[in-house]
Amino acid sequence: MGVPAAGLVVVPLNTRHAVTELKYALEDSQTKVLLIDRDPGELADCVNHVILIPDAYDAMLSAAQERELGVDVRESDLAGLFYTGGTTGKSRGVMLSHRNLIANAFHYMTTVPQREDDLMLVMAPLFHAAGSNGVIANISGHWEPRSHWPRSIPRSHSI
Amino acid sequence: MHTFADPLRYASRMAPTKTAVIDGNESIDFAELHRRCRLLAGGLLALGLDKGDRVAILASNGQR
Repeated sequence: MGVPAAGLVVVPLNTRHAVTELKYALEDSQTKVLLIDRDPGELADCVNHVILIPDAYDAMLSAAQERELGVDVRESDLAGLFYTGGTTGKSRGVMLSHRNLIANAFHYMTTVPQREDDLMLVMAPLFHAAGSNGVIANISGHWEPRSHWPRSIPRSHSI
Repeated sequence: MHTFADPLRYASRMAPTKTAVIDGNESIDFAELHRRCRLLAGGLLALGLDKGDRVAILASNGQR
């Protein structure tokens, strides 16, 4: 969430993709920085900066100055590029805006009953929309003023 | 206007000490989550990134 909040575009990569697919995604998206928790190997050649998780990542945060989030960021701005599984050809980077992802989270909140003291066990991988959407919804969930909820989404429905 | 900055800010203001993320033995509250996101923004922008630049993540699930 921090990457798009900073006005940057997050590219969550599938940890089960092969190097060829990962290289394609990095080059296709023109990614500048790769945050990675394993040996980057030849992926390092595709980007300007590789930051290893956890050590280099934690060091970067320790040395960083806090920056205000959301400055000059609009809800129609691109927030993330999600590369598809590529079952019908080359993987495609699906362009999702802040509004797209937050609308998804609202939808989750209206369809998955939650209480303030609930704990959500994240089983799905966070690089996948199914994993990230639930987390975004849970972090956003109870704190969003209800007046922000889109009126077009029903609170409950049945077939 | 509604971006990812908003839920992080609301949560840190309305429930700063409530647990946001549990990862193994580490527990992070909403104020700390907001702080770490601001530090991440500072760290990434200090690399010379401009608005709209791409940042990829290849990692197993975790608080980072």
